[in-house]
Amino acid sequence: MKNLLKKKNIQNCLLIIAVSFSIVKFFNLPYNFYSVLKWDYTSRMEQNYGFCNNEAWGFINYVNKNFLLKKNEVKIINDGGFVTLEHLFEFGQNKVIKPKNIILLNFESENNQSIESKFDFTKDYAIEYRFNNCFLMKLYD
Amino acid sequence: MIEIFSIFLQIFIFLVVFSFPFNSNLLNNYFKNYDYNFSVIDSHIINILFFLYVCLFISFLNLDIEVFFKIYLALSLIFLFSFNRKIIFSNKKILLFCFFLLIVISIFFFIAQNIRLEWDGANHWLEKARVIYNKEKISNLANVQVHPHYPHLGSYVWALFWKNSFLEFEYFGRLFFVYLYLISLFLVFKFLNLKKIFINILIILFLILITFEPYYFAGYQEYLIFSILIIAANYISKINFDKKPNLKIIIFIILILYLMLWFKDEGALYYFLFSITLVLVLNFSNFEKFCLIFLIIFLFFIQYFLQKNLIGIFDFPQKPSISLIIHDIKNLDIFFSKISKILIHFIIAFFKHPLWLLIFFSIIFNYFFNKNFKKLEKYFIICLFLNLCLFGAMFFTFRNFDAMLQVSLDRLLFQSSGFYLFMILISLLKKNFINK
Repeated sequence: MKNLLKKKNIQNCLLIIAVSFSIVKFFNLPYNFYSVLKWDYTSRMEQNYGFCNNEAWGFINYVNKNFLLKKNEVKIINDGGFVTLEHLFEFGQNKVIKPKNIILLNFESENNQSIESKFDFTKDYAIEYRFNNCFLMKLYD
Repeated sequence: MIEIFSIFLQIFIFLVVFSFPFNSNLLNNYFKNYDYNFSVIDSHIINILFFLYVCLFISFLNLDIEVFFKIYLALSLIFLFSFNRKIIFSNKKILLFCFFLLIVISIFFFIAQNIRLEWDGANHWLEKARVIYNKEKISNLANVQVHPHYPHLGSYVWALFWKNSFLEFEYFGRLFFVYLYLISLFLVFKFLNLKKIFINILIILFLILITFEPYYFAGYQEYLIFSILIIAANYISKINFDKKPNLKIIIFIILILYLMLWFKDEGALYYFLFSITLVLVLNFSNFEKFCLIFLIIFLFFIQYFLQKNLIGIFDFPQKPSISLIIHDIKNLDIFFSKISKILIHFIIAFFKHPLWLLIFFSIIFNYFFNKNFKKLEKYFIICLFLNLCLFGAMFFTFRNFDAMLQVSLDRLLFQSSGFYLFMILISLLKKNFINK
């Protein structure tokens, strides 16, 4: 009887271990844990959203920190058709026709097509900072 | 390391906050005549529902979300150490709780790694959450640029846990959606109540396997409706449809369903459909049925008045005109083209969310092998039929019909599938596929 009980206990323990491992594997817990441990929030946001590709969170975060952009003065345009992330920052949706700053992401052009020829309203803006196809543009004084 | 600590802290906070204010003894005393024994998981879920109602109430008072949360957390801690000390867990429940914790931790870390918000999350719901996160007035929700008329409760809870998390990272707000989803699925354990705990756990794991959709945790509100429907269906399935039911429990179920109105516009459709059908099939007198239907409609108007007067906006996204409806029905080309597209997308969505296939399979199986459906099953089948007819009403979508079908229909089907989950479980129990 004792042996049987012991056998049942061992079976249960093995089942617990097997089910636990299945859960851990299914959700990829070891890697996710390692990832959170290894990379900080900013790095993971860049991995997920890209620096100057896709939603380009990295670029927006960079210009926000270095050019001290203010609320309601920024409009984000993503030429690649990705969703814009103004609400992850404190920019808010800009209802002003000519905001002080424009962040243009994933600008796509043919041959030597300029930004102004594609986005007419940017002729009143100067490029303040550029990284690949991502631009921070400032309204002329 | 701090982030890992704060994820574990968030789990602890959820466990503490949702232990207040009800415990199982209190609930069993209150719902005396209902043939159901409220356990710790029930009290935990009812506390979550209570918390959602408190959030809803507080949101209209424009109270500081940090002050509100601190008071609630303090009360929960006092309650936990004063009233809940006598709870003794069996080995079976401890094991189940350990599995629950393991799955919670696994999905929380999954979200922490897969942090991105998808389109609707970033474009529709985050803007509302940002208004609340910034402690702006509730009326400012009417000024958001995309769909200001959408209900705000989901975004409110998101912003509340975002603001009150240790590191104030956005994704901490969304962890609540995961928690609600998991706790609602663990109700299945209570429903099945099997002796062999591993069968229970394996069934729950299987349900997670077929319903876990990371895309919907990326800011969408689908899981809120899905979970609320599982919770409501659990309590509905415990009603004895042959006897006169306890009025308290019916009002309680109506209030559970009512929460959906505050998450998404389509929540109103589910609310009316499931609650009115329930009242009509139950053994109530005509007068009682009239009173309950009056209550259901009255609650809807409360939402209308609160949204209209305190937020300043109440609307629905689609406004079909009679002339367009007649035009589309008269024109056979458009009619058949739309119908065929809807059917194709229905089939795609059923395969995308295999829970639906299981639901249909369990109905067909029951029909051929059991023949006689119980009243409860009949209720679910009536709801299912009306539910699918409602989705068929996508025919009357006139703006971006194709796009709406591609991005909406599968989500609509997913969120409502939770309600019919218990049909599968009932079939399993009926034919003794799993021994009690």
